[in-house]
Amino acid sequence: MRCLDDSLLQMLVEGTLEGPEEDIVYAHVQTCAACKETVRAYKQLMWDLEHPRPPDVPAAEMAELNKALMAVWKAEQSAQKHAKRRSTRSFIPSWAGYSVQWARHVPPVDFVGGVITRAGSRLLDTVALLRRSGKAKGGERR
Amino acid sequence: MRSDDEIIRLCQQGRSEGFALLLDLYQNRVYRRAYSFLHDKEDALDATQDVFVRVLKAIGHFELGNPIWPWLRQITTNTCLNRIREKRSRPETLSFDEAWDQMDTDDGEGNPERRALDAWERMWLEQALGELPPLHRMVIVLRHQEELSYEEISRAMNLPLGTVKTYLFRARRALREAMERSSRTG
Ligand SMILES: [Zn+2]
Repeated sequence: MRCLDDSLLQMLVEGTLEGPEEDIVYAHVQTCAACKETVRAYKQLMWDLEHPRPPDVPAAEMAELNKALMAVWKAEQSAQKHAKRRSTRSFIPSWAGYSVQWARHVPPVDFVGGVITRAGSRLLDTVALLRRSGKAKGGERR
Repeated sequence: MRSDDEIIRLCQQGRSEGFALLLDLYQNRVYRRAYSFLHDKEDALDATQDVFVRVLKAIGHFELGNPIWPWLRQITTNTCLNRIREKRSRPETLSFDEAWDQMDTDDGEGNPERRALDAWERMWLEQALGELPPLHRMVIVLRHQEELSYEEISRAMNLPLGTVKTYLFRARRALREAMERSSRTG
């Protein structure tokens, strides 16, 4: 009997085949030692992938990064406070400020990226600098 | 422990403790996810930084009542995608041969029934994951660690569904073959 496409065996293990297709693949695997072995290997592989050893978190760098991000947060908050103070002087009635629609909008990431390139590049540079200075203390890699 | 909503509310009120809580809860998680996408410590640290700078800019627009992680995961995915695109020409990491040279050759005893990988196999799998094309690796991570459906991966990575499947099937086949080589060698 002709052997099945590798992707069908993967889908059998994953449970993404449906109805008759699953029956056909399953029936073949029952009778074919090679495919049975491949299925066994995929079962093991998918189990392994779902139980990863979490990567080590570099504690010192992460602590530096945490500090830097808190600094950026504070800078950002005070910048926004100034902006708000300016905007209250203009005559925008409160009901016209933020529509509910906008406030409820979870920003797509494209939008997030747009915000950053316009306003955040200076802050980003600051954080990168802070991180690099932290790294210098810890000794350079590479 | 604070709920996602409480943390978001504090952040949206401009309270630093809110952002500190967000970092406490999610900084490591974002780093680990970025690392599993990028397989490079420095890249993962840079990506983690970018993610949270984006987050602090955008958090005012976050809708209460939604879980934070899917949003952070999407920002992490996009940030890493950008880095992958920028770094396309970067040379690959260690080859299997080099990895072999670096391994101590004290193999554990072979118990065919075990489910958890021994150190040797785990290293081999990590190595094989590291050698996948970055987009293939990202599909694998989103599928098997974030448990997204094919369609969700397609949306998260902004790739056609057919491409997602192709990457996934090729990547898993490459990993299976790498693991078979490991059992022949190990
Ligand atoms: Zn067969």
